[in-house]
Amino acid sequence: MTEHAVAIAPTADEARASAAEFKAVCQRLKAEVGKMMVGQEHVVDGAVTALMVGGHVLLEGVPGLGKTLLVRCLSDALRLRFSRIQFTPDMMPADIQGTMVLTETAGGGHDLTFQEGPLVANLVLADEINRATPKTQSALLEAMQERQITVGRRTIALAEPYCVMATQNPMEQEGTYPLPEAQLDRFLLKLLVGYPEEREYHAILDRTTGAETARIEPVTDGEEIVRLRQIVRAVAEPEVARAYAVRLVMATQPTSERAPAAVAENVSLGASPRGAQSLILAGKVRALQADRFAVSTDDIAAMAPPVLRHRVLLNFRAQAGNVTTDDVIAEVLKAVKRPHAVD
Amino acid sequence: MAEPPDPRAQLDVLVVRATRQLRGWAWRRALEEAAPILFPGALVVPAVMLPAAVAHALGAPAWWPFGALPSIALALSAPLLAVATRALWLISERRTERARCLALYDYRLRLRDRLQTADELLRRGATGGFARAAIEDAAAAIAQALTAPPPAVTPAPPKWSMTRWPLGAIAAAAMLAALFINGRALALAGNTAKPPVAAPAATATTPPEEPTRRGTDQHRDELDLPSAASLAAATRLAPSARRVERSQAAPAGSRASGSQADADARGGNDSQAGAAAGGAAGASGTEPPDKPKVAGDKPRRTRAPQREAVRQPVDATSGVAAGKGGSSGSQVAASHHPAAANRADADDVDNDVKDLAEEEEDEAQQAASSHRPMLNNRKAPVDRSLMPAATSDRERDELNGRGRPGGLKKTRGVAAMLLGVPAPDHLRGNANPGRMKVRRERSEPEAKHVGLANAAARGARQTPFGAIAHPRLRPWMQDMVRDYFLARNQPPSPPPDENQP
Repeated sequence: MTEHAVAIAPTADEARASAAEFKAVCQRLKAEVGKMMVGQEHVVDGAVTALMVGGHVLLEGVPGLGKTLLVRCLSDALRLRFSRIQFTPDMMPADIQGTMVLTETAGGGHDLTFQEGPLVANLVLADEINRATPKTQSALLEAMQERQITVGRRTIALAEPYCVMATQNPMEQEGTYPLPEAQLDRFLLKLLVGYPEEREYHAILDRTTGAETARIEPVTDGEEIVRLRQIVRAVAEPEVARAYAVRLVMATQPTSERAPAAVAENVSLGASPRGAQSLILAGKVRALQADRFAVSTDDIAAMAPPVLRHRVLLNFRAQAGNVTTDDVIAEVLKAVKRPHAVD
Repeated sequence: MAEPPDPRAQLDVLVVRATRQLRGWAWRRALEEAAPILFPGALVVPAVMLPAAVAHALGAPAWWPFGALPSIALALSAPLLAVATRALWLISERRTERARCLALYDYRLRLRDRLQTADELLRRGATGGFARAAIEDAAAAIAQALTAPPPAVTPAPPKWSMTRWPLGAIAAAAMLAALFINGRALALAGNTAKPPVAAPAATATTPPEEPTRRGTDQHRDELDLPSAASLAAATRLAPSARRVERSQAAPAGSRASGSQADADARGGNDSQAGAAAGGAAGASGTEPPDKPKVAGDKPRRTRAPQREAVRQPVDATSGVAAGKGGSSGSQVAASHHPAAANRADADDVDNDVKDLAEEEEDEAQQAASSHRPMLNNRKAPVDRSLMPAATSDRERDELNGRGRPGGLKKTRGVAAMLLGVPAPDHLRGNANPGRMKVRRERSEPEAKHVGLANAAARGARQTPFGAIAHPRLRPWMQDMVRDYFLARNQPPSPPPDENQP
């Protein structure tokens, strides 16, 4: 156990209190988002998980399913500085990072001042991120990983909490630029937004076509989220869960000896160590929400699809055979035995 | 108020219980892992027994100590013993881990790894609120595990790999072959009594299957030489018998050297011939460097019959017939003829040697002419040195423009000044498109009269939109489209013929 964890909750009672507080905040947050967002519980859970871990989320779904609405609701409930970037093919890095502009001084002179771009915020909605050119997409890399942006000789540290929630449409691929693997790897989770169920359609129509509009109340703020993130890091991670996460990540690598046949045949690039980190962190959030104080192999297995699906690159054979990354991850979960498991 | 139970002791109890459950599973797994050496292990006894049986059938003494039934029993028990030994080794290497015992309860009772986590945190002595909370959280899980019956371990059915089964068939076949060969060898040994090895006279008996050589062997017996049958039999003898045979063959060599000494005493030519003969005989058939194949085993084509007639008695009375080389030198070295006849014979043989050498050279040239024509015209390359290297007329005649073998060849001219970089002879390029001609024609713009169009009157489009660009299809989409059109374009199946019964 690290000193950090001891400082966060030195006793078991304090740990229980911290865990309870964490769970309560998450539930309130989900309840507020649920005022506007109908259904899509797993998407809301994933977004909250990424927010509590300090990761970024990639939302993928056809238009009209509420991806942008989800992020806007989260920003309203969190009382965070929110910015929205609509990515287009002609967008340049300076458009999102910021640039030097000529301003008029009080004495009638002129001066060059730096004007921040929309990337300088707490919660950034990168809408249709795959419509931007790789040059503009790569401007996000530094912000997502190092939490800073560099424009010329100026480096701006981004305030915590910082979270990028990007959306992309899987259908309209004309005029889009698929995200490079380096950027995909920086997203903690990739969440698939699917169609709502029939009863959810009714709820959506009730809330959106009537005269009343729901109002989202702020639940928490940035400081509390930073503290909740420290609680997440303090959750115990036993060796069994860590070994299982490592085995899962290695099993997605086609050259690894742990890779099952489905991976060797269909995968050209597997997950990186960043995938193992993401599995453990996301598993900790899930353990806290389940009133546990240590991450388990069940948490790792449950978080494996959203954590690994965008880190696995399929080869042409898989595409021709209509094999998806979720199919491959399901095979991995089936093939990889949990540590110390009896056959 | 009662003290809370110690979680370590409770976990120890669970470990003991699970260890009992896992013992059978561990044996089963060890046997499964050791099973692959079953068929390779079955090959061991046949692999030893078959060469022994073959060697015994060829005359070597039998050294396989077991009979048929013990051999079969050994062949069957050896692989089982190997598997059991490996399984024992695996069991001794792998002790049942504590974590595996607790994982048995964790996974069977769906305790979310609480037992393993608590045990690890307790052993690690982890401090911190969340670690203590996790240990306390496991108390309920430990109690549940203690009250629950020990989880039964039902190992998965063994997976038999068929890849090694051919080894079993090979082992069985080798075993059967060894038994068959052994049985046949024993039957032959019972029918035929072998003579004692130490009796040289018995080894010299002529085998009945070689009647044509009997006369020659008798003649050799008269000359006190080992017969062909005895030589053949000597090859099958044991090493001790071979030593006895060598000790008997030694006087023959001494006789050859004696004949050589006798020939040396007769004079110059004879002595040279005798020396050659002695050398050839002493080297046991190795040929001398100068024209060695003259009178050997090579069949002669056109030699005079009288020479054969002259040579016949020499062959018959040669004292060095034991030499396997059978060269002419051995014939010349005969010591029982008068000196004059021997000298005449030696002269004749010398002439014969020269003639045969020339013939063979002609034959070699004729044989090589088909593959390398004009071989005779090819001479050794001559040096291109500009210096007057040729000292004699003959050497100057040989200067045919080529260098002598060996040494660096000199070059002349521009080629010698260029760097040794290979350069292509031709440079690739595009064909010249030719001259371009641009013509300009003056023309006046003409006004085009178009009627005024009313935008409101245009209305909605009534015709189809025409071709619309499709998005790029993915491979599975392309496959689907292809399959659809292939199925659509398939010719309809012919209707069944009603005339056929």
